[in-house]
Amino acid sequence: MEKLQALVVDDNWYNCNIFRIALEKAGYEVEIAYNGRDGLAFLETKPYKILVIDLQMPGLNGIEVLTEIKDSPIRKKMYILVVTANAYMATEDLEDLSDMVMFKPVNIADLTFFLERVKRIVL
Amino acid sequence: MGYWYWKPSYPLSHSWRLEQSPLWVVFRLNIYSSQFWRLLYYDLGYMGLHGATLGIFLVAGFAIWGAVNGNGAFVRADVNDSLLLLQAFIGTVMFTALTLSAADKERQTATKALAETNHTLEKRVIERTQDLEIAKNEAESASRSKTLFIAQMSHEFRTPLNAVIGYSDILQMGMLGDMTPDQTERIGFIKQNASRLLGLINDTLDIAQIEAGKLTLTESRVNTQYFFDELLQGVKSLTAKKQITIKTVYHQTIPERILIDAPKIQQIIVNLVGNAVKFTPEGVITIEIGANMPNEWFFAVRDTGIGMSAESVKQLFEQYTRIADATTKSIEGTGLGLSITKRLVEFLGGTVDVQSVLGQGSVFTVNLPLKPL
Repeated sequence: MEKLQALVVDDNWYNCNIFRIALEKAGYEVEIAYNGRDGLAFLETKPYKILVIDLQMPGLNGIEVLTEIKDSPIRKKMYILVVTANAYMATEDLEDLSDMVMFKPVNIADLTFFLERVKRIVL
Repeated sequence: MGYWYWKPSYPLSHSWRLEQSPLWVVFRLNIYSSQFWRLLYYDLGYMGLHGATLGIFLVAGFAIWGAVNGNGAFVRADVNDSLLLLQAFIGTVMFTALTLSAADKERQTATKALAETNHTLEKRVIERTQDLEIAKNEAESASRSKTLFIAQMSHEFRTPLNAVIGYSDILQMGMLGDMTPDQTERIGFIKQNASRLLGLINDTLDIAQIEAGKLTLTESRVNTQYFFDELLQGVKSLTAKKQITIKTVYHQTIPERILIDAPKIQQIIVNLVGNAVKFTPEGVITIEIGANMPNEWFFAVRDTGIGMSAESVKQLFEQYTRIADATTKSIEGTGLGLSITKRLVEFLGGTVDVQSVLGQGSVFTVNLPLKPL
């Protein structure tokens, strides 16, 4: 069976690495973009099932990326998990831009639970 | 009338008309209009000393003229009597006129001074308003930058912590291969300390948030028993390593549904119960929920822990104050928890009371206004 594709967009190498380990353990094939612009370019190339995205990034930030793809057809086939370190962020703005918001530090058990649930829905 | 005539400033001619005479003004005056009286009042008011002097001359002149012609009230059998009377009359008129004139002068000076004071005051008010405006803008911008700072700090602290806790989780869950029990335990220590650091950051930022006045009220209606049952179910995990039982007592007085700010109540209860667990080696923690007044409800957290002395209770809610003595040295904490709790309760319009007996335990009672649904 073909593996599900996942894309991680975060400017912090360690965080990307953590998400890669957790995603691969949950059975996804992972690709990583270290900024918003690369992330947008990656999204054009493949039908990703999960997008894990940070908000505060140099250049194009997470909100801008999510606003960009908001109405595009790729959004409809993809689950978006926003991971932010800004705990005082108003999550209402993210409600229609994403499917799930987690605050850093992310509990890996929670993340795994979310990944498994998406997999069960998709497969 | 031979002594006196009025000489116009222009030559008399056949075309002379009444309209050209200054008396025409008098003829045209309409004394029934309020305008007339107002003008008269103002004219008299502004005439002042000159007006009074002129008045004296006119009245005295008429009196003398009348007396000389043998007309009027001043005519007596003896000329001396007549003159004395005339003098007395002129003197009275003069003094009256001088007094009035002085009073009027005084009034004018006072009015001028008042106007000046008024002007100065107005200027000062405008200056003060501008100062206040500047101060307000500065305060607002300070508050904004503080909020921005909080958000930025939160971000900067959490990003590395995400790596620490994330890798600890990954190792502990065996995602990178099996670990020996010893290794798992040590990873657990890393995670515990990282979590403690996170708690510290959260508390500090909470205080900063409260001080920046950034708290907002988010009220919702909840089913009292359901809300507290669920909340205390979560709190039970705090007692995992201790021989502590948590009991809940619902008084009959508490309404079935109440309007509360659920996240803040949750934070307050988690703080208080966490505190009770911290200072109770073993025993019972009782949470009572009730209402003893029609417009007030309360919850009380009672523990059978080490308790506090009266002096300790006094400084309990101070920031960064931890009750330090031999018995509490081994207990960790930032000293911010109760300060945050108190501020949250005050924000919700309530009060916190503490009763404690050293060696027997403490009771923290939170009284909150009961809002209509």
